[in-house]
Amino acid sequence: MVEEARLARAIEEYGDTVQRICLVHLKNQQDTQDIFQTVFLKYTLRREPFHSPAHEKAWIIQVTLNACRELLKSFFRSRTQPLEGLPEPADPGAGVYSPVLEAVLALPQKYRDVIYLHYYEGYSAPEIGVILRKNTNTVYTLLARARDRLKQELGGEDDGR
Amino acid sequence: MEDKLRRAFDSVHASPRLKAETRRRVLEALEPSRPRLRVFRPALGLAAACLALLAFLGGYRFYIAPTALISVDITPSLELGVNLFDRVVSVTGYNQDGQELAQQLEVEGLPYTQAVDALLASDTVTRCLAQDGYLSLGVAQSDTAQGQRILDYLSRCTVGMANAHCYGMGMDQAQDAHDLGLSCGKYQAWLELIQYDPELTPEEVSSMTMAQIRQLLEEYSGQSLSEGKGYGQGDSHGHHGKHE
Repeated sequence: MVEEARLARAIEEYGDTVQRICLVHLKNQQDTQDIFQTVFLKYTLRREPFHSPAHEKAWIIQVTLNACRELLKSFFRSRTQPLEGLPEPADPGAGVYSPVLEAVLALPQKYRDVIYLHYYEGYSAPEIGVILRKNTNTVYTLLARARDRLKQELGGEDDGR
Repeated sequence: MEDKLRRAFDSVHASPRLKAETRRRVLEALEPSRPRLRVFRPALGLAAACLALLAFLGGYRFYIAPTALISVDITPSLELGVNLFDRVVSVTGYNQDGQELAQQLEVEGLPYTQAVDALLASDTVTRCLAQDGYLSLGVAQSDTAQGQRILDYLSRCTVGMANAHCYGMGMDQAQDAHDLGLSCGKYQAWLELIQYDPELTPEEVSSMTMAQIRQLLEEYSGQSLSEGKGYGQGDSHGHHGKHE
């Protein structure tokens, strides 16, 4: 019962975060479901306590990113397409996004990650470097290029950090 | 741009259906491991107990399996089963006197040497010998090292004894004897006697004393067995006592 309550709370609290990372990485709703299961199963099985809510959220983000990468690297996935069970939208509005979000999703993967982590989750370049296992300077470079691309695409003004 | 991006990502939510499905799947994935653990531990304990029991039973069966038989025929007829460790694991009487003597003797578990000593020193055997009885001591499975050791010991035991005879035979012959309800010594005697009297039944031989069998053989053969090597088709061996 305690496990169930803990799981329910985590899904409620971090479900949107996992959904956003899946959106950045995946286009298949079925894959999103798989990632949700993987992440929250790992969460339930984790016995070590988190130091803080921020630590817990960072762990969720890290595990979700890793799960997405693993899924994309999957040998099976890279060579096959399921014939049956083609992605069934979890909700009717899925796949219809704002122009800004569409512009982000149109970026190469390496830019999407840093944009999401920096502009939405609020992580600094060094923190993103730790999460993505990249050099801090590389993260700065990726952020700058991603901003340029988005500016070109959206014609907006960069008020980033 | 930061606000635009924030608003854009803010519009993305996990649907209630996705959350509910995730919860269901995770709990389902966890579920099999719980009872499995509960079942596995007792099952493991049970399996270990079964293995221990099998090992014990296997060891016990191995221990109680006779690898050689010592057949004693005088008036009583009985056999001592001897295991691989030279311990007596069974005492079987083949006639009423033999069954009574088997019940009196408490030799199971003893080394066969002590059992044979106790048997030869028993009142029944000494009385029979004193009354002109004839003692036949045999070993089934005499072709093994253990059988030879036992036969040598029996021969040493009967050195100087009047009316004693030692012999060895194979386990298959011992089995034939048992199938006919005879001790090994009387089976050998029966094989010898039917050469002269094919009508003689194992039951008739079973009811005779060894002294009577010996006398009958002397009558049939027309010669005193005290001059010969004794009777029997087994591989007679060792000491033959002072024959009548």
